[in-house]
Amino acid sequence: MQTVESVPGDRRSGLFRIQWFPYLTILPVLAVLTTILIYPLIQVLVMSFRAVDLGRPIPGEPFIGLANYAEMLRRPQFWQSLWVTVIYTLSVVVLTCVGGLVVAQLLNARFHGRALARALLILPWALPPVVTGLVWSWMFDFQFGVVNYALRLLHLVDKNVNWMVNPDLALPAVIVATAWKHLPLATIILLAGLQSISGELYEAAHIDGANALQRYRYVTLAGLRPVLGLLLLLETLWNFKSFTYIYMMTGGGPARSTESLVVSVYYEAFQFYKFGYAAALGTIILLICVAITLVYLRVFIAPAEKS
Amino acid sequence: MADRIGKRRVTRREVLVGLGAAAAAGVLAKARRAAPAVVGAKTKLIYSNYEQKQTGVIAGLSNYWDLAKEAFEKKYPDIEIVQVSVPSSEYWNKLFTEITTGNAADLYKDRLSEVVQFTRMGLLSPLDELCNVKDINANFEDIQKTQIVDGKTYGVAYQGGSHQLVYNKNLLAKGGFKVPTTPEEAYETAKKLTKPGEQWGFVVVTPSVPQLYIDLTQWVVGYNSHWGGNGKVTATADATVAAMEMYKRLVAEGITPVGTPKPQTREMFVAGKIAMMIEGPWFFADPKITPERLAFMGTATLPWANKRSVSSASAFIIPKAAKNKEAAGKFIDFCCSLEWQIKFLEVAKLPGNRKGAFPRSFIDKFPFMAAYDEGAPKAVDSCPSGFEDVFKQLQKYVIDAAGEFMFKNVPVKKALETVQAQMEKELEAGRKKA
Repeated sequence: MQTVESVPGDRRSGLFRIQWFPYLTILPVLAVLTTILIYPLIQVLVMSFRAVDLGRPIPGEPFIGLANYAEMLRRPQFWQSLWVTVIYTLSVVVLTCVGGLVVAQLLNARFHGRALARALLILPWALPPVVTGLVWSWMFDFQFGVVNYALRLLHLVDKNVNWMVNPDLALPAVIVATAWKHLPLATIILLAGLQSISGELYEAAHIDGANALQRYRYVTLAGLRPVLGLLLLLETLWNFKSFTYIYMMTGGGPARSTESLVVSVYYEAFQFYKFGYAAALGTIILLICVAITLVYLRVFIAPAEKS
Repeated sequence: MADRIGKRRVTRREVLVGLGAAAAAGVLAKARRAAPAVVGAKTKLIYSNYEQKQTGVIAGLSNYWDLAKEAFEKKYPDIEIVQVSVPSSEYWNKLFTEITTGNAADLYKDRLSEVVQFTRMGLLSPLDELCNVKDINANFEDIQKTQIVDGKTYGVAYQGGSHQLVYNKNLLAKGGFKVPTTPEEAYETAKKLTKPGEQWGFVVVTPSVPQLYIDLTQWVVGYNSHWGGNGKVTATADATVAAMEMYKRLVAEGITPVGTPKPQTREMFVAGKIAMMIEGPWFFADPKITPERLAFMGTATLPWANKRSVSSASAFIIPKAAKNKEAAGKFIDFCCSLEWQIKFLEVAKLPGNRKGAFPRSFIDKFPFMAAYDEGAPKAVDSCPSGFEDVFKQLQKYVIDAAGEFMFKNVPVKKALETVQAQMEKELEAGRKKA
């Protein structure tokens, strides 16, 4: 801890000679972080090693080592949920990033009404996730949904499609809804990235004889690399932990076809009251997210720092 | 500037003033928390439910609670009822969180099976000393007995009721059909009344929502079975499998509007596109059920030989952490009196659970309620006995299995074997812990 040199005539004791002000200013932030982030995190970790089952409580909630984790790995439902989570995350990330790139490039071009198009684009992002889930549930409704109406109008289907109760179609439906919601943010981030690429680079590449594809690869994509990396990381983490869209639209059904790991955590904790097991699941989700972040750092940040 | 601020010394006086202010704030906060829940001389009875106007519930129920509050406060001028309104979608999670964290209201409405589970978790107050349970247990329908745990009563099933068959008289008459009395008759009638894409013979729930479990269970109990009983799983019993086979046929043959949520099927029924459906009495409290529409609607007990159906009962509970238990007990007694049980029927259009609270005059006025009166004594809880601790698991496993056999071409028996194995494991885990 920092102290100040003694000033002649200063009669303050040692405690009051410490420069407290910087520590005091960060104290509220530390307190808040500790209360809402670090303490619950430690609690979850501790709970995952204990028999915490409120439905059938065991006095003292004894330490059971890795039993919750072993139980989790034994259950086929865990692997099913992990698979759903991976498919959901990858699909949304790909749709969002590729779609975002396409839309960003369209919005980067000059055309009448560009400002309005950019403003309208943000609307889905502004909607609360719960509203998004509800709206898309109605849109995918078997009987009265606008999706079926449009498909029939375009003669793409003969009869209405059961999006939400068919186990093969429910997950794609949720993926589409989530990607729709995330697309605007991806577009805006990528648009900002595109605008930060200097026009001189394109001119230089042109003079060097690079064709359009080469310019796109070596100037546009190379220039977007840091932004794209960040977007990939954020989208991966957000979607890996996504709950609202899935829960609002399908509740994890039908037949667990949309039950991601986070939805499983909800059921285990708040429906079955198996908090120990849910904590183990939560810890695994945390570890996977940390692993994803490390991979991102290695792939996107480390090369950038080296160069 | 930053350096100057960074190196500014905090004086002893400033530190002491800061500590003093923090201590004063703490004391004030503590004093505020410790303040008794009274308004003047009145005891504040906090009653949490999802049955008030602002939560979008049918008007009858909220009117009933408003009337009951007014009359109760007149009878007990020293008690004021404060209704806490929670939307039903949030209610169950909030209830659990509040009673486990000790930050509870004085009175809640709860599901019957949950009362038993919460009792075993040590979260509820026994009602024996707080209200007249002797009278309640003696004079209420049998389902009240599920609320007694180890000789003490923890819940009062003030709301009774059952699900019965609601049918379109015109459609049945036009086809020359009688009201079915067996599942096979119901299937045959429904099949003949189905016109693909236009009209459906019988509504069964198909989306993966909690209501699916209730609807599946209607058929299972109608086939003289249940998902279990006395702690044993009977998901693969012949009768259970037969019931689910019939359910699957209704879905596979397009006799039911597949994928349509329950509220929409009600709209379709009102629009004359549905011949039969299973419904509770609350359906008739919907303002859309005008006298003209009511004219083409008929009710009958479910088309099962045993006349059983799943109960729609709800119970009052008083959490252990409640502050005004005595006032809550008085309100329970008040609502369970014959007078207020009859008022429940008249105002909320829902049957109470007290025997004799279904007067003949009411049935004469609303003949469609006769089926609900007749069916009430045969209503069974949706939770099999001995499954209270794992009821939510049972619900989820059954819903998952239904998704498998309805939409993934998995044979019914195989899907139910999964439920059987999962539930046996759950019960075994419970026994080990015990």
